[in-house]
Formats: sequence, structure tokens, C-alpha cells
Amino acid sequence: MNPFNKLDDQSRRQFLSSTARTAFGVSLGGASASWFSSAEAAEAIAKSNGKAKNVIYLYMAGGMTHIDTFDPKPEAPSEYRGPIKAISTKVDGIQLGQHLEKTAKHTDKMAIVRSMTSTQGAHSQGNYHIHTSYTERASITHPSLGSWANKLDPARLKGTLPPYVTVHTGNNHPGAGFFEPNNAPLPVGDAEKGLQNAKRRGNVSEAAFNRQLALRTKLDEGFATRFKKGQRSVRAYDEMFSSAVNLMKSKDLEAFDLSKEGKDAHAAYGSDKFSKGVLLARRLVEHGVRFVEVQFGGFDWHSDNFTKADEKLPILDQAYAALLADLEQRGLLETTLVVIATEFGRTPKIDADAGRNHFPKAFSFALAGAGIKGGTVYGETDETASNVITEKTSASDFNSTIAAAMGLQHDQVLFSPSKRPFKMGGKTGKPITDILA
Amino acid sequence: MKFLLPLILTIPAVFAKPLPLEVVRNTARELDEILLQGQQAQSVQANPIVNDATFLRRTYLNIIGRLPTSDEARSFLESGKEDKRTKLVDTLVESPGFNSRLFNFWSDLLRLKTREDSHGLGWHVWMKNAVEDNMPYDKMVGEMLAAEGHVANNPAAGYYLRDRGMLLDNVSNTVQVFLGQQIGCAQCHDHPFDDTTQMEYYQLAAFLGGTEYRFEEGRDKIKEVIGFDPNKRPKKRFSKMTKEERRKLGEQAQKKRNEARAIGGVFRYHQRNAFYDSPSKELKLPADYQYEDGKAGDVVKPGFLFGLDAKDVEPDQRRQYFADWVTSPKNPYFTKVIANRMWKYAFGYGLVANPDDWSNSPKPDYPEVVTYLEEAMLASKYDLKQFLRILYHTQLFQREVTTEEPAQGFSFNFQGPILRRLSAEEIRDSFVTLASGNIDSNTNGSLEESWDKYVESFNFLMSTNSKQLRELSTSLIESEKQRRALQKELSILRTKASKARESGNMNKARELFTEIRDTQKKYGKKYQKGQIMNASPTAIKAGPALARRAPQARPDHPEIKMRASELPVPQRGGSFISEFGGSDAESPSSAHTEATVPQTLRLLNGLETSLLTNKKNAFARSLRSIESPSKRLDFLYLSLYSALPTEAEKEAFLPEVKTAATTETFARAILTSNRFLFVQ
Repeated sequence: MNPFNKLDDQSRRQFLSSTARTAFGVSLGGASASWFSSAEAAEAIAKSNGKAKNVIYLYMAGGMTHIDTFDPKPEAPSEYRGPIKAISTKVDGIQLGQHLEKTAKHTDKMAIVRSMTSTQGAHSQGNYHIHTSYTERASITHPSLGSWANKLDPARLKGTLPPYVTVHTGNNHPGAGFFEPNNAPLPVGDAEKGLQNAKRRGNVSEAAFNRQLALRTKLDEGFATRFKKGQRSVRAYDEMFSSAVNLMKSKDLEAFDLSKEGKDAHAAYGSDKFSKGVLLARRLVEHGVRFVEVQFGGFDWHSDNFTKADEKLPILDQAYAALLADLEQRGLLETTLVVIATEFGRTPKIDADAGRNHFPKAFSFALAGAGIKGGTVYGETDETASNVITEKTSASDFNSTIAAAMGLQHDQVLFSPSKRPFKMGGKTGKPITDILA
Repeated sequence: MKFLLPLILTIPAVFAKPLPLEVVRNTARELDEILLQGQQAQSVQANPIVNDATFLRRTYLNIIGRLPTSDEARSFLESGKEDKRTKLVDTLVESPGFNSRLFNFWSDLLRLKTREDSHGLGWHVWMKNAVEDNMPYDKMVGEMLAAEGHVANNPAAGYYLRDRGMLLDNVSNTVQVFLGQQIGCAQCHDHPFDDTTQMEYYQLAAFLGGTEYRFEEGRDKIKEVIGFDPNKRPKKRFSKMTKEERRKLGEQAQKKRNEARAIGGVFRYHQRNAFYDSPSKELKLPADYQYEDGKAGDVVKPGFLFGLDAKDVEPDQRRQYFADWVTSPKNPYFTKVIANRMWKYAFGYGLVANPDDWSNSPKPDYPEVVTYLEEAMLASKYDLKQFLRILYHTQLFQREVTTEEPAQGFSFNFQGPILRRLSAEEIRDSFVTLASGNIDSNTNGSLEESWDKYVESFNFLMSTNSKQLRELSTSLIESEKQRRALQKELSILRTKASKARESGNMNKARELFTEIRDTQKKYGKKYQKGQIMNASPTAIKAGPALARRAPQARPDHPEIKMRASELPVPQRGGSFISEFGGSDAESPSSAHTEATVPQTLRLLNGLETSLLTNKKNAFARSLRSIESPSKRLDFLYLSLYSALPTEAEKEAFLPEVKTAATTETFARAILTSNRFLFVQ
């Protein structure tokens, strides 16, 4: 059967428009490149219907324990499960670790992937791999998911805000990778402070400000002639400069201002720095920012795993549950995909320091909202959460699934400046159609 | 091919004394020759020598990490002396600004975290001194890698405490930072591209396999005080005792254990600031080990990488062996890696393109240069200051930058240095210098002061007799009780207050809030900071060593009068330095110079730009006091571009500096221009 028949009008248009761009634009490539989306991509996109107009990507930096959160094993020996109990949730048969009690009320919106597996067991490499679908190389920086999304479908970008914002991310975020600098995320260092300096200072008149801009161009004439062509970093500053000036004119700047949220909203999400980041993500998505990543650091529990679980997991639980409830109430969950990701899991067997160590062999991710079939668990690990026994899922597969939910072709080839072919879903990624809806 | 031996090899290098200028120049000349030979062989044309202004700006930024002041710029540009470039390099290398820039390099590479427990502070102060004393690199690394014990006794132990509980990560960082190899993957499985297997990784980590994160001397002290060693067996065999005797013994032991626990409270934070090597503890293969050369749980014997032999390592000598192996001149990477890092530090790009990953970098275009640098590093006895001085004296350092950036990850032909954006610290420090003048020798003082206080109080604590220690323990417990009671009281008051507010009884709420404030005031800040309340003189003396973190002292200067290298690291999210890509201390060399929108917004509308252009600081004051527009223009150009305006620039921009208001606009425009943000 021709997969094209499955496409509704809107996604067909998107499909054709990006195919056209592929053929005529940046990605015209060698014979090996697939110009047309595969049947596989078309089918996955048809299934999700590209509902996810926006993505909120919550990243647990340091490697979140899977057995204590999304893949509990109440029957496992105590040296594996430790003191944490499994709790039942809104959906029969889906259990979560006891700290996720608020999340448990939302499993009907969620698809939990319990069969994540990778070979990247060091932090920065793991982090890079999950964010880009590729393994880290010295010779190239691959783009992160948000940059892929904007690059693959710029037609959908609108509004006056930047399409991709990262909150509390560290310096090693791959950002736009080899894409042009204008695909880079706008980083927010402190959610509570929001986007600072976006307004002209009171003592600078509009005329003086415009004069200043004109003078800058004039001052840089010689420098630009000499360096702009050969130096990406110089071009990047010019591009950021015009983005910044445009942003100053945006009527949506208050999207960055958390003080516009009521006390109740603040109380619902929680008081941690991460909670504020999640609340900011909701505001941004509401104002049309397409992809927001919020990082929550400090999951590297080599010792005292359970003390740290008591401290950190309730923060995640509260903010995540509040986000899903809030999005649903505002009708935004139909168009917003919420992701929980991390670089790897933790060793299921507890060590002598009551810690768990890096474990890329098996871990869990969660998806919820737009494009996702709620109340699902995909894949399974063995009785101690040590091995994936069904539906092995790679970072590439997972990222392909995000692509499909957004109506993007995970296997569309774009070329790096060095003329090498790359895809949002990595070399081999396949969307998990079972959890798309 | 002609192979030259570094000339400095023939001169005995004396540590801590500058090399004679002749030696430096000859070595630099030889280096240039080797590079030129390599370039000729590949038909690469070296770039022309830069003009004075470009040299001036580059030299200040690359050696001392800030722009020259307008006076410094003018005096160099106007000097007619022939050797002024040489003189400038040598003056700057010997100035405090040299240490400032180099310290930022180390703090980024080693991921210093000043605020992490007390070990973060101690290690920071130690590193700072090491840079200021120009401690030879091999000694510096060796001291960190061989360190153990309590950080108060050996602050270099902060190197391991930084990664407390993450021994395997620490090992891969060590190998990456000092040996330029990425072995992190082998933590979980054989490295897919390199030769390192998981077994080799574990063998290397086995040198540190005795690591126990605990405060052994504290334990000894407790044993001494209570006169009880839980590990010591009773004289009479347990099986031969009567029931009564056993019961008594058990009771006694329990009593002593309780006592030990109570006194142990005195050392509660010391567990975080110390580790020791247990000779009997060994590293074991992980539970999921999957290769045929070993089984999960097997003990791993220490072994080196790169096929170097580790024979008969005594268990209590493992760490020292490890340190010696890493820092040995015979280690095939130790010397090369630092030489390449210093090359990048001076010219902006490594001869080996990725200094952290030699195995996956393409072969350098000029292997002879790498070899020569390695020999020069050895000959200078790892004196980084003299080594850098040689690099700064090369012709290469005086060549124009290339207009094309190097392709990421590829070898670069070094027609000249590369164009780069100023680092976050360089922008910040240039701003600060504009506002306050040359403040390179202003020291913070407070970090050293609080570290000294901590160490002093630690030494006092360790010298207490058993009566004093018991007294301390009692006041700690008493203070804890009071604190808990107080917190409970405050919490009840707060609940009452918010209930009163909710029910609209504002008078009552106000009353309660006043009561909360009064209660807090009554107990002072001590209860919040975890210090002992109602402390005795002994407790006051021991106080800093009992608290979670060393007490904070007041800096000798306000922030705006200090270089970035005087401040705690890493800078917090949202700060100027963090926004411009300063290190986040999470991974080695995490600092970057990528453009972002918030950076541009900060330059356009931020407080820093405004302070500089319209407030009472040296820069703004000078601007206002200079009466002639042409001199004003000169001043702006000298201060911000380290150059005098050309005739064309004068013609174009003189009208912009006619009034104070337009001058301010013009100055702001310069501060956002690429010519300002980049160094050629």
C-alpha cells in the first residue's frame, strides 16, 4: 500500500514542502542520500499526524536511576530494589517508583519506554549521544534535536520569539552543531531571572539606540570584509546581533517573565530551580516557542542513592505532574509533547556505598501528550532491570519517535559543511510507531 | 631531514629563574625554523608580521588576559625603540596578569569548584599558589595525583575529593587532562576505536582501588578519647567467657559505641573532606563484566596503559606509583600533551587538533614541531612560564591571523595564529580595567584568609585533649537540640502567621511576623549557618572546623577592582562570565566562546555597558574630561581597540564625538562591535 495515501492534507503539504527544500536547498546530496522520505517515516508521521507542534524536553543530567523511577522491580531481591516501593498508577498494570506519586495520576497520558539502551557510559558522551543521535567525534559537532526541528521545517516557524530555548543547560550542550548559528538555542541561565536585558535602558533614547546600531555596522566594515566570509564565529555574532535587536521589538517578551505567573502556579510547580524552569517552559510554549529544553542536574548518585532519591525525585515528580495538568487544563497538551530523558540508567545492583553507578545497558524514558498513545509501556527489562529483553530502543529510535510526533522526517538527509550526510534520527533510527497516536 | 636539538638543552635550566633572553630567542628562532621548513615542504605561505597595534592588543590579551589601558597602549605605540616588542612580552610574562590568565586556564581544565565543601576552597587556594609560584608542571600534577588524607593537611587532595564517590570518572578525567586520551567509554565496555579495553581501564583504576572516603585520623582520635577500639579482640576468648561476662562486655561495647557516635558528631563534615588509602582494599570487576579475561567481582591488579609495566606494586604505594607513572618523562603522552595545550594557549589552536583526544585527532601537519616542543618542555623542566615565553617570542606569535578558520577537528597549517573571540574572563577583565585602571595586583585575600582560619581551627581540633573533645561534643549536641527547638518554634509561628493572613486577620499576622523576626534576631545568624550556639571558648576556636564550609571572610577589594581570577569559581548561571561562556566546571575545558542572544542583549542593554559609559569610573570620567574631540576619539580607540584611528576613521567618526551624548552612543557602538570582541 502506498504510504502517501495515509497522509492527510496538512502533513502532505509539509511533506512536499520539505521534500522540495531537500531537493533544491541545503541538502542536495550524493546518490546515496534519500531525497524522499521513506515509507517508514511517512507511516510514522501519518500515525501521529504531527500533532506535536511544541516540545518540552526535560533532561535529567547525570544519569537518572531507572529502577527507582520508571522501571520499578518490586519482585527483585532487595540488593537491587532497595527500600523503594512500587506504586500503582492511574493505568492498571503500570507501576512507578514510590516517589512519583503525583506522576502516577497522569500515566494515562504517558508512554514509558523501558527498553532504552546505549553504549555511552560516560557523562559527556552519553549526554551528547542522547541529544544528537550520534556519538561524539572530534571532527564535527552534531546538531541537537531542537535545532534539527527548526532546520527540517522552518516553514512552521512564526511569531517573534526564538524557536528554540534551553534552560539551565550546561556548557557542553551541542546546540546548533554544524548548522548555521541562527539554529542555535537561546540559553536561559536562570529561569527566575528570565531573559535579561531585553529592554532598551531608560537613559538611551530610541534615536540614540538606532544610531548606535548603525555605527556598529560602520565600525565593523573593515573587520567584516576581512573575516566574515571565512569565520563562522564572526558571522554568528552578526546573526545573534540581529536576532537580539529583533527580539527587543517582540511583543511576546513577557513569555520569559515568571513574575507574571500567580502564586498558585508557582506553588503547584514547586520552589526548586528546576520547578521554575518547567514553569518557564510552559509559558514559552504557550507563546509559540517550539522546542524548550530544561535541565535538572545532580542525578549522578554513586553513593547514598536513596537519600538523594528522597531529595530529588519529589521535585521532579511535582514539577512534571504540575506541567501535565497545567498543559491539559490550558488545552496545550494536544499540541505539546513532553519528554523526560537522561544520559543513561544506574546499575540495578546497589553497591557498598549504597550507590548506583553508570548503566547504559538499560534505562527508561517517558513521553507524554501530543502524538503519543497514553497509558502505554514500551519494551521490558529482565527481573532485575539489568537487561533489555524486548523492543531494544536506541537514542536514535527515540529521537526518530520525537521527530515523527512533530511531523518531521527522522530520516531526511541533510549535509554538513564537510558534505557528510546526517539525519535527525541518526544512522539507523526508526520511530516507535506503537506509541504514536 | 635536518633535526635540531633545542638550544636550551645545552644550557643548564635553573628552575624558578627566568631563562636568559638569548636562550629564549634562540629557541624561539629554532622553533620558527622548524615550522617554516614544514610549511615550505607543504607549500604553505606564512602570513606577514602584524603592525604594532595588532601586536599590542594580541600580546596583552594572550599573555595577561585583558586589554591594555589607554596609557599602556599609547606608551607602546609611541615608543621608537627597536626591541619594544621583545620588552613588552618579557614585562608581561613577569607581571601578575600572567598568573591571572593562566589560573583561569587551570581552573577550567581541572573543573575547580571553590564552593564545594572545604576541599573546594583548599584546592583553589593551593592551585592559585602553585600558579603564582610557577610550580613546575610535573611537580604540580604529581602532588595532586599522589595526595591523600585530609584536605587541611594536604589541599592538593582536593583533586580527588572534587570527584568524591566517582573514582572511575576521576580516572578517565585524569587520563584525558594529563595524557590526552579519551578512555571514558572503556568504563563500561571495550573502547570501540582506541585500544583501551575495559580490563585495562580497571587495571589503571586499581592504583586508586584503596580509596576510602572517610576521615581516618578522626576515627583514631575518637578511639583515643574513649579508650576503645572496636576492632581489638578481648583478651579472653569469647567462647570461654561466662554468660555474665559476655553480657557485661556487650553492654560496655554498646556504651562505648554510643559514646563514639556522639563524639563522631564533631567530625561529621570531615568525612567529606578527606579520604585515605586502605592497603587491604582492592578494586573489583563490575557486576556486568562481559569479557573472557575476567569474571564479575574478580580483584583487579594494578596495571598501566601504553604497555608500560607495573611490577610488584606494594598495596600502600599504589597511589604514588600512579602519580609517578602519569608524570614520568618516560610516559609517552605526559610531556607532549602539556606542550600542545600551551601551544593552543598561545596561538589559539593545537598542533594536535584536539588536545583532549590524541588518538582521534588527525596526525599533526608538523610532527617535527611537536617533537621539538616536547624536548623544549623537558629541557625547561616543565617550567610553563619559560615555555610560554619561548612561544611568545616566536615569529609565529607576530604573524597576522588567518582569515579562514581551521576546519573543526582538522590539523591547521599555522600560517599565523587564529582569530578568536575574547574569553568570558577577558571581556569582563577588560571592562573592569577600563573602569578601574590596572588592577592586576589586587588580590582578593578572603579565600586565603578563610582557608587559613579553617586549617588553624582544624589543627586546634586535632590537638584537643579528650576533655576538650568531650566538651565540644556536648556543646554540639546541645546546640543541635536548641537549633531544632528553635526551628520548630519558627515553623509553628510561620504556619500561624500564614493562617492568620489567609483568614484576613492582618493585625495578628503582622504581630506574628514581628515575633518571627525577633526570634530570629535573638539567636542571630548562627543558628542558620550551623555554628555552635552559646559556644565556649574551645568551641569558638574549633568552630570553623566544625562547620560545613569554611567561614567566609571579606574580600580586600570590591569585585569591580579585582580580576576574574580572584573570584570563586565557577561563576553562577546568569552572571556576566557564565553568560559569555565561562567554565561551568562540569567537564574539563568547558569554557567556550559561542555567540548567544543573551550575550548580545547584555552588551546592548546590560548594566556593565552603562556603568562604563555613563557612571563615575575611570573610563567615563576620562571621556568627559577630555575636551578636544580628536583627543576623545584617540582615547576611545586606544582604550577599546588598542590602536589610534586612521585618517579615514578620523574623518568618519570625528562628528560622532562632538558632544557627551553622541560620544556615549559611539562608545557603546564600539563595545558591541566585532572588532572589539575578537582578537586578531
